[in-house]
Amino acid sequence: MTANNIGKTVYHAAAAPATNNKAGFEALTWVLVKGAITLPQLGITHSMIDVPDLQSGLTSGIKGAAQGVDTTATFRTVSADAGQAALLLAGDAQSGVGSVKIVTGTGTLNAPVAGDVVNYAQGVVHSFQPNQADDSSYEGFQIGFRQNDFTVIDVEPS
Amino acid sequence: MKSPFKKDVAGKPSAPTAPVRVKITNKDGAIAQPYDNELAPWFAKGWTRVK
Repeated sequence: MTANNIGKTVYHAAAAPATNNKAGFEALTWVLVKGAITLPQLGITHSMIDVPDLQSGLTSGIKGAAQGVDTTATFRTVSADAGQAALLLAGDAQSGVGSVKIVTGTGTLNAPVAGDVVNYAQGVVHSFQPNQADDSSYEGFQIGFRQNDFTVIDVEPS
Repeated sequence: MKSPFKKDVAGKPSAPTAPVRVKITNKDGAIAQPYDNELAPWFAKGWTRVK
């Protein structure tokens, strides 16, 4: 069954795991980032290597190097939210190394409970930009996340 | 003197202990808590135990 994305939440950890797997990610210290509007897209893009062939006249493609996608997440400002504070700190920090965990929690207030599907990714948090202020928009910000390893899809541990 | 009729009774093997989480930190001050049997890759990346 196809579902919408309502109820998804994002957590941030200010470090990359030692191993790109569930055990590594679950060892990190996660903080819920409130006020999410658009979550970062997770995934990988591959470069293609063109291989021309004179006889057939067909240029075929073989898979080249992979790299994580770099997308922008948007948030409305939630004052005194520890998750937003940590994310902004990472966005302005020199390294910005961090991880994200996206989950559709089935618990109270969408809290993740054991068995809920979880997406983990590590990368770099960057390019924090508060929304331009005017008389017809809400306070918020956008922030970039460049993924640096493959997404790990697993379930919330018990 | 040990009686020749007394059997040697081997001690019960201790039950394997469940792994426990250990608090570690990196140079940026981030905290992680991997299980004690999964510490090697963290130490290899410069994480150290929180004292």
